[in-house]
Amino acid sequence: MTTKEYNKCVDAYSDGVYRFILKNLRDEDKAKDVVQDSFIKMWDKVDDISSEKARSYLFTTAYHTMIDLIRREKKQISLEESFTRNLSVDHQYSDLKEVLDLAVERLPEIQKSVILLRDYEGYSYEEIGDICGLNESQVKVYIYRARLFLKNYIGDLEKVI
Amino acid sequence: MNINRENYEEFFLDYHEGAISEEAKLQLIAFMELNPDLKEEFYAFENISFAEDTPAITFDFKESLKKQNTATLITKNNYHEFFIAAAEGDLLASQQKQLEIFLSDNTSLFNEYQLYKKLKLVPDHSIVYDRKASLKHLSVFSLPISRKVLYQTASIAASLLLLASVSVYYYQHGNKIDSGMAVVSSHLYSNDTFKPIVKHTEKVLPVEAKKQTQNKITETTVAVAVEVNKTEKSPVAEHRESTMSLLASRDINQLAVANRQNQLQSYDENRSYYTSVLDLLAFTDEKIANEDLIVSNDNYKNSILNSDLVKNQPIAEAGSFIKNAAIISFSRLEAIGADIKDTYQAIEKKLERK
Repeated sequence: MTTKEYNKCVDAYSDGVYRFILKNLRDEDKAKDVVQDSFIKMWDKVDDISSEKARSYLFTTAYHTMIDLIRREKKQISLEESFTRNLSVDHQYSDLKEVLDLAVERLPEIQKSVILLRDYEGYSYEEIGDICGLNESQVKVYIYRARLFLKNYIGDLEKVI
Repeated sequence: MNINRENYEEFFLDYHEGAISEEAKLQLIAFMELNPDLKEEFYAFENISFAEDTPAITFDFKESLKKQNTATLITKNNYHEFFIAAAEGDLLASQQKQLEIFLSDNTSLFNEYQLYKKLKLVPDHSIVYDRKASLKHLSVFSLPISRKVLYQTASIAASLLLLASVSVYYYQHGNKIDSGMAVVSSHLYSNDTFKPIVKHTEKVLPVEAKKQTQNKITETTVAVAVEVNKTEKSPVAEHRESTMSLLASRDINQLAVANRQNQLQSYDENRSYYTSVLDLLAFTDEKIANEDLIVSNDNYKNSILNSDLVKNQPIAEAGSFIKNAAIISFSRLEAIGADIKDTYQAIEKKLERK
């Protein structure tokens, strides 16, 4: 990949990577740092990465950088805790997007990541598996669980006007 | 076997599983009387049960793990999976039909089905990464070459530039300071164009002007000699500093003048060449500055021309660029060297005659 192609990747993918990481970390500065680290890592290997693989490389790198950060800060939500949050909302929301944004915050990290990659970036199960280090079946199960959680969180479509 | 504090757990277990003999049971009761501190542990055994009070744990997504199976029927127990699969676009056509039939038979589930279809997260495009500029890297040329080749090209170009400059310096300051040769170069660099001093002074300068020039020669010679003694730097190191200073200040004119060979090489060509070299240098300033460039002799020239980089460069454009830069620089260097050497010799003879 040439310098010109690398710079095009900055324009094309940095927003998407940033939104993905920000949604997971909920901290703008940390999300920006993760994006920056990811591009620095890609620049270090720019001669070995083709422009076709750049997007996948960036998301993979950003994801693992984020996981490392979360582990360092010991903020990972335990599986047990996340299951206890499997409660539905009991008040009205004016907007489905609003309630979905709240619901997704309550997903376990891995489910949150796979569903964001699926919905935000339109990645296939296989591609998400490559990024997150999972096999296709695992990705599918995590996405299904996440959808069920989101549905249960909302409870009833009629609550969302 | 008698019960003691080393083996009592075995008796506890047998007791709670109903597998204890009457004799052992009596031993156990006596043992508990003697060891009341173990009573709590004894009763705790009673509460251990894996079969009771535990809700049935089932894995909810069996179907999602199976390979596409058209034989699986949608039921009220597994419809969530089908609804999700439909929203994800994972259903086969036959399964989709099955789902539609199921929904027509279970209209109360239609809203739930609709809800699943709406559970797509939508990115907020107003959120953007605002540090893009800091991530970008300067692209000097639009050549289809990699950064690695570009660095190598820049390094070689810089080396050639320094090699040419050091060569000029050698003829100016090398072993000729004592005989007044330093003044030649100081005179050469004092004008905007390169003019061999011998021809210039003989054809243009009147006698009085020649005398003034001679006085100037003496003053400058002393000044240079004092300067050399004071700093005690090697000629190469000293000139490298001044060259880097010129590069830093982007004094292209002076570099072009200093390296102009003759009328065959126009000023504009020189200027254009060094502008492109300096653009490369600007891109790799830090890298270049940290490199220990050894530029002193023909071995270096040969090592570059014979290097794998020049000979076997897989990218035609880059190889051609490097080769051309090398050829132009070295031919120019040789011409400069020959020209200045002739000039020195002419002046030397003239001084000897005087």
